[in-house]
Amino acid sequence: MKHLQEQISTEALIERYQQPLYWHIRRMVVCHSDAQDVLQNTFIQVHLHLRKLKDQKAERAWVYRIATNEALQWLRKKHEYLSLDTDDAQSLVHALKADPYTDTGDHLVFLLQEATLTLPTMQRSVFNLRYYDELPYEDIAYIMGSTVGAAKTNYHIAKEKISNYLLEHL
Amino acid sequence: MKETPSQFDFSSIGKQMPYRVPDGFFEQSKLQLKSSVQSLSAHRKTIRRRWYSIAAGVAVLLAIYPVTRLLQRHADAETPVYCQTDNASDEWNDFADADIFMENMDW
Repeated sequence: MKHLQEQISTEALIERYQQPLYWHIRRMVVCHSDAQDVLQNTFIQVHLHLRKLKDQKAERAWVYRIATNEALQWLRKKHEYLSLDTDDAQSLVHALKADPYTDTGDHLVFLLQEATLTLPTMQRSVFNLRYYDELPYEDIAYIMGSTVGAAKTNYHIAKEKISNYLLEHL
Repeated sequence: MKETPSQFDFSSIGKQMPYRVPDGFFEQSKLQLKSSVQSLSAHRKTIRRRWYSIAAGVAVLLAIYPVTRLLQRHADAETPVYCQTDNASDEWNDFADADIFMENMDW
């Protein structure tokens, strides 16, 4: 009976978070097919660990944390995990250009994504979570396993870097 | 907001992204996700049932073993010495030989 309840809850989470999580993962792994696989892994992990979710209010941060971890693991496995290595950033930019489900029509929009991909993983993740998903810094700190102060600093540094990149390349 | 040389105006882009998905992707993906979660649940249920059966079997064996031992001992105790098996009879004789108060008893 308890297990059935779990299943219903997982389905409810799929209904609520499928799209926002897909876009979050997509921004992390870039390729559509990869994002699809990571999304599936994310919901399997959600289902397996649902009992650990005790506070319903923390639900969104919890599923985002799982999705972020899955995306980073995926990147690590593909040897594309970004640290400060420019080559890794270049491979993600290359993937962005090569993916059949990328629109290159709007130059500015494409450039923003390209600028984001050149950032180190932590800054990139924090920027995406704040800029696109508009999550509070407390949630971002929980998702990234850092402090609120570090999340704020990472966001401002990331925004500054992106701004400089865009001004340089426009 | 006006664009300045030191800061880019992010509002000119907003939340637009260059990414897109195939037509009907989200509907299809939702069904696939639900289906994989259901099959995972079914698989876990089967494994759990298997473990419950094994645990129940072990519990039954553990419960039965002492009872059978007790019944066996009870049966031996009720059997007269002359009807007991050789081993039980020998045990009784050894016990009687060792008991000093039984020496003068007239059997």
